[in-house]
Amino acid sequence: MKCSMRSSTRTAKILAICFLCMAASAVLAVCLGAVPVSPGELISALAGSSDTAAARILLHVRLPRTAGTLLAGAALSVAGRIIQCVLGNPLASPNIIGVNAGAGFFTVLCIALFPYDTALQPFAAFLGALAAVMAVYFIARKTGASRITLVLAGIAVGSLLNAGIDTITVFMPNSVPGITSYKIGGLAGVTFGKLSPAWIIILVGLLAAILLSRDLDVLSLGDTTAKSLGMNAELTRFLLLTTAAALAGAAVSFAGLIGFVGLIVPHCAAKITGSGNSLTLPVCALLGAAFLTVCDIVARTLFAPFEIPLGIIVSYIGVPFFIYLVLRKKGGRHGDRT
Amino acid sequence: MIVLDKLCCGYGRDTVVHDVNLSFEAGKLYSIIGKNGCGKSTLLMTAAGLMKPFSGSITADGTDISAIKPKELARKFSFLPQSGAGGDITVRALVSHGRFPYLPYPRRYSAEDLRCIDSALETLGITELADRKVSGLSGGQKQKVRIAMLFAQDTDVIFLDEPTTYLDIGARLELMELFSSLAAKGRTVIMTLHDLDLAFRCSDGIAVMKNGSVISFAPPGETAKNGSVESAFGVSAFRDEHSGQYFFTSCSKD
Repeated sequence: MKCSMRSSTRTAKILAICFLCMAASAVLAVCLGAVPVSPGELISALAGSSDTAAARILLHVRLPRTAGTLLAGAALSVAGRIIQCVLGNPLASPNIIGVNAGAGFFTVLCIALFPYDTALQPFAAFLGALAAVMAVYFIARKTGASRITLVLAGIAVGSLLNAGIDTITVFMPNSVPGITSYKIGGLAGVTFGKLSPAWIIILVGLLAAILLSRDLDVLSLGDTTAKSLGMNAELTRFLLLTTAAALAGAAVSFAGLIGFVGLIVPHCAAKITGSGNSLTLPVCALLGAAFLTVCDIVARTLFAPFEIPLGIIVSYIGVPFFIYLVLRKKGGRHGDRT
Repeated sequence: MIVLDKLCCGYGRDTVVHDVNLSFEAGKLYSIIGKNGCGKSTLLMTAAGLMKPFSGSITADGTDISAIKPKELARKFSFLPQSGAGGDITVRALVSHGRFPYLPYPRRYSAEDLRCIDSALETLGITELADRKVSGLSGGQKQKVRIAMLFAQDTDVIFLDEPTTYLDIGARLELMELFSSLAAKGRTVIMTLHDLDLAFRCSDGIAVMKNGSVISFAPPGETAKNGSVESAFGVSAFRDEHSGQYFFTSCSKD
């Protein structure tokens, strides 16, 4: 009993710290930028009592953008964690196994075919992400599902879907404006309108992921063990992959093909919590939101008033950090050391 | 009492196990032996309800297990796979998963669950490892953790697929003693074994398999005499009447 009490205060501490990180990143993101805004102006703008230029910047530029980075960061990180656990593969993440490309292809297709129905985009992205993740899963299963096969299958599926995106942009160059920045990934010019209905999908997806966290733990013990514990492994796996696809798809629909968040953040979160997914998934969501928001601040302020696309910053910060993480486990094979 | 009646099973369209009739009584320890690829693991998995039989039935105390819901079956039968489970997870967390069949949504552990987890850790003498990562443990310790998970599952019937493979002799004997004590407490323990010596020493009943069929099902003393070991392994078994020990020698074919 004592032990579980201690672990529950530890849980609360970790969650509180991660939440503060996220909140701090959000406040910074709203205040910093080409035109700095003071916290006082922020409060009065939120209260609706001023109609200054600063208030308009806040309401129409900074707030939707910050909401977008928070949502996309949380969604991509949690999707990454789910995919890694379900496939039993630490290298799997939405961008590496082609899930982002699937969502991107369907989004671009949707834009090309129905340019005025922007509300369709998140659903198209979800379908694309789901198709990609299921394709990779079945290919890997047919061929024996070794870790490297799965990554190879993902790269193959991802390349095919990227070719699809390129085909559409080559044959219909005017139908998809801003395709380059979409492929790099970023949230320049995002509005509250563009975030809807993706934000609903993301919030529901995060909730579903957290409710299924214990099931995710058991599923990652392997099919035989999961079945012997009375779990319907196929159904649970399908539900979890669908949740991951919904999260990744919704994020890609407004944030473009941002990579690496779904790989880096889950690894860090697992390192911090060192325990099951009922803690790791919420930590992933909070840290993912904070990480992408901080990257976006850098993207906006480094060469202000010029902006660097967010996807580039994520890669510049994320990849060296990831290499550092890999190098720090000197000697041991993956998962050998505690 | 577990009864396998005219059981045929396998993978896809390949029938691996043919027409098996066996019955296992409560409070006893059974071993299934046979050469690699003879179908003993397939038989064990099917008997444990993890694979659907092609034909025939498995009944537990008179109820066909196909009529039992998976969660409910997981409170009667537990299964230790040959390999798997282990990695970036603490010992306590892995053992706790044994309680999964007892957790309704939202999957919170009750006081009873926590008590079962603690007692499982204690029974296997791994309480002090509880906060260590499974991936950092030795082979013998890992196997104990996996078995502790089965203890937390607290079932009357326990299926073990090669529980002693890759362990050194001390750990093997220790585990076999543990399984015998489980049987002595009224549980049914059914395992596949590579090690004939252990099988003959510890089992109440031995099923000998050859090419997917059970060619003998008898207590060790009888199994040693009825020629099934010669037929399945090409070695002869005999019992030293003085010490009660079993010995195995390769058959001369002349």
